[in-house]
Amino acid sequence: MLTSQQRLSSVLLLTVVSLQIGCASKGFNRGELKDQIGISKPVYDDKEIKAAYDKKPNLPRPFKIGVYFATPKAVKGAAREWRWTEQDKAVLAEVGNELKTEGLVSDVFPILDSVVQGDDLRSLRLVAAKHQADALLIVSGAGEIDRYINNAGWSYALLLPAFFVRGSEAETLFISNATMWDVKNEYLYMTAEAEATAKNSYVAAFGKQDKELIDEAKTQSLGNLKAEIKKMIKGTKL
Amino acid sequence: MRVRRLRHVWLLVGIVGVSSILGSRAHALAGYLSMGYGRGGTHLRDLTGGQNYNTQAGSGLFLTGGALLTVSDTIPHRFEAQLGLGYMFQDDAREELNSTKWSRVPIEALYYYRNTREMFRFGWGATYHVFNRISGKGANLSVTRDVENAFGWVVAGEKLFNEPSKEGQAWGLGLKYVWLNYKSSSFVSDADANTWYLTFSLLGK
Repeated sequence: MLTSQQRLSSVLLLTVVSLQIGCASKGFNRGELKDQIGISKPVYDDKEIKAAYDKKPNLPRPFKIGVYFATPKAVKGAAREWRWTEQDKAVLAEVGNELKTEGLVSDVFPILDSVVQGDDLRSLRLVAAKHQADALLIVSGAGEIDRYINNAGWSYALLLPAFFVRGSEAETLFISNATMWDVKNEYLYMTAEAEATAKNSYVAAFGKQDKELIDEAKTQSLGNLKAEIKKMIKGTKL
Repeated sequence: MRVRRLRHVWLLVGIVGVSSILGSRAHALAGYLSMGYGRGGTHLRDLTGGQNYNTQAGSGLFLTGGALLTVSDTIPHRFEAQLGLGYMFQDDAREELNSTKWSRVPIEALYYYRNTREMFRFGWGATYHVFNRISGKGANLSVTRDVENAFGWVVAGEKLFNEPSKEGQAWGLGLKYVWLNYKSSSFVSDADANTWYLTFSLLGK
């Protein structure tokens, strides 16, 4: 038989254990993030699959690439407060310049959002064709932030520690993806994917905003994607 | 008197400090509305001269609204500060010609722990009641008087429910306890207004 003191201790222990479990990060929903970076929907029809299989590469050498940065999708629970910046676009432009130097590509130019009617693959190919591009490179991305408190974060219950104790953690995941399509026949030349995570401990009242956290992981992820794209295009069957 | 002044200064510093720092983080600011009712405390007629009315110092229906500032936007353990201004009153209108009304304007600063997974929140804080006035008509005209501003402490808890039509918004049903004493030179003694209140709140995203 437990004494009342032992019972109280057990309740306190259980509370502390459950709070400790509650402290942990909830993790990322990669499935949702993948949904956000997808451009074309999966094809399940046999006829469609055969038609896709029969497509042949027909890029000239050197070829022109139109680069489109897909607008971030707003999905429940995911961070939306980010956009592609000029610096992001410059990272991909560097790849283009390197490929131009190597004589693989004759021109790389951006396809602006303002001229795009819809963000499905067919509409994007149409816009790329109007730009006289041979290939269309679609870059998309998705980010998610997991904010949780560490053990020190429980001191926030007293209010003042929220202004000087590093009791909050933010883990950010950013996945970037690039697909290169033939503008004329929708042949898929390559897909590249890269991800990056960033972890920050912060004082609750002065934590970084979602946009800043996403930007950190995005920059890192694009750096990785750049290397992947270069490697893939060089090895692409043209 | 000096201690009371200090309390007021701390309350003001807290409100200004939290608002100024967190107000700059646009995503951390939302609105809230809270209403509720409670009965309790000293019978005011015992302090004002024994007139014929039945109002207790802590009794009243209140409506409060203001800002909800997210201090720690972590999941599922979140901390938030709530700053609000409201109106609280208790009418005793059994006889229309001899009615009385006990009204106050509460300024509240509460600090909450919110569990976003289990959907509940617990908070503590302070309240400052201003423009406190008992007014009477007819035979109860003599109860009319102003009561000094009063400082009190608050604890509160609410079970929250998601607002299905608006993502991130919630409503809550809960209890609040206020420790507070009203003073007036025209009272025969201080009015104990310690009271439980039933609350209903609407919380912005």
